[in-house]
Amino acid sequence: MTTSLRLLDGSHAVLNGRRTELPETGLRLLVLLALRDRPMTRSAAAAALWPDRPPIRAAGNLRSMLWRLDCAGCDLVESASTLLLLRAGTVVDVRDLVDRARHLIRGRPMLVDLHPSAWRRVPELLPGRDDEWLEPHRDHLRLLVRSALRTLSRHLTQSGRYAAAVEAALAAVALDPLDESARIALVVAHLAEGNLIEARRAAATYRGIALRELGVEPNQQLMALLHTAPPRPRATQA
Amino acid sequence: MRTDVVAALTPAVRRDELALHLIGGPYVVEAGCRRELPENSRRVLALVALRPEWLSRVTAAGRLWPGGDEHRAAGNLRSALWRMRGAGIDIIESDRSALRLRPDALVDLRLAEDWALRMIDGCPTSTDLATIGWQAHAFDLLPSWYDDWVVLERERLRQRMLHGLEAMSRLLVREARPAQAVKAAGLAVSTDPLRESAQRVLIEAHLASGQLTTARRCLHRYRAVLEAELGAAPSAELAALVG
Repeated sequence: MTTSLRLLDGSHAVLNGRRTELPETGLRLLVLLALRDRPMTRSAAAAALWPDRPPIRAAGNLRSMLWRLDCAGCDLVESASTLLLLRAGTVVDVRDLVDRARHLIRGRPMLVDLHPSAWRRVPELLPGRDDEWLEPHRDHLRLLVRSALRTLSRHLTQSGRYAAAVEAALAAVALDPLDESARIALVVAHLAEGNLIEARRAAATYRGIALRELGVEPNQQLMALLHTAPPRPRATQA
Repeated sequence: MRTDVVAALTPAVRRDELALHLIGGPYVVEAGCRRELPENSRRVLALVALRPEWLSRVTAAGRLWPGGDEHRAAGNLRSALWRMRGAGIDIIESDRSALRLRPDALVDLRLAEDWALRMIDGCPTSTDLATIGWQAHAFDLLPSWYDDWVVLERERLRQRMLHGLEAMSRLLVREARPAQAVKAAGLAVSTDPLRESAQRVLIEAHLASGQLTTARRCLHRYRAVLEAELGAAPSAELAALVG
């Protein structure tokens, strides 16, 4: 029976086919292990979770955290001598998201991920929670997805799927309005579709935001795009 | 009402359900009756509705009442939710730490964007190609709101709808229904006369109905508008369409 750990829509695990809420105490450890695709040494995990504690205290905290996870009936963490890892065969939704994003970035996307609706809801780690320790993990995830979306947008522009290309770039922009590469991807998509006016508007919007938030002019590359003949791949709109 | 997104895109059996209108809104329609929202809960509802999943109370309060006083923001949020419930509008689910839109509520924005996506994907349902009219209103997402999170969402919907209308026009040409194709393209053009991809489908739709002269006139008019507004010319591909 599959075991799965879900961190992108609420937080729960499915253990032996039964839905189990994740105990508050072990959540940080589970997130830490879920975001890595390799085992982690106990000492590294303890240091990551309690960076300002002496190692011996951190190790003690970790032991107690593992014990409580077990007590809560959440035996998702295996420990092999000095290593910690998620139980073999655990399906983790956030790891799946990371893999999909990496496939896109490496230029080997899965077919379904070429469709903008696959990225319509850019999921958030443990949505609805407001914990400081989560923010670096969320930032890391957003960065990865943003980079995947920019790559996706360029890819879609090259294959003449402009509607999807525009949306992928807009999704990246929504994750970070100051992401200049995402803004460039958007302008390029509009230009490739033949929509000079949309490209100019997109550039002007970004210029306004960059001036307001950063006090700087956008990169010359962006503005130069508007005055050069756009690449027009010969393809039909899909 | 033909122009209502929810009415146009929802099967008759679901029309009595709770619907949130963000287009021209926000307002709620329950069992056919329009319910106005208390002033201070409108922004809360819109913010929650634009997010696909749970939104933490802290994030929501910080977004809606920025400026630092967290206690005050949290209090404002509680009061806004309380007033909405007091008005009998039960559309937000909440627990101690987070909020979300009730998953069974219809949202006009989602219906409209799904319609457009079916057009872009080239797989409309039997009724999708029949209705034209509500699309003209779909561009008014939360009109006169200028928060960053609204502006981005409005632009995303605008692009989706324009691409949807352009795709619709192409599908209708393929189905040998050029008159309807002209109508769909015309709507895209009237929304944004400077957008070349919209002009292109309009010209193609006129050509499909054998109206070469009208197609040429469209190109001339577009050339004049583009020259006046942007000092630019239509692409060579567009000009080549009408010879």
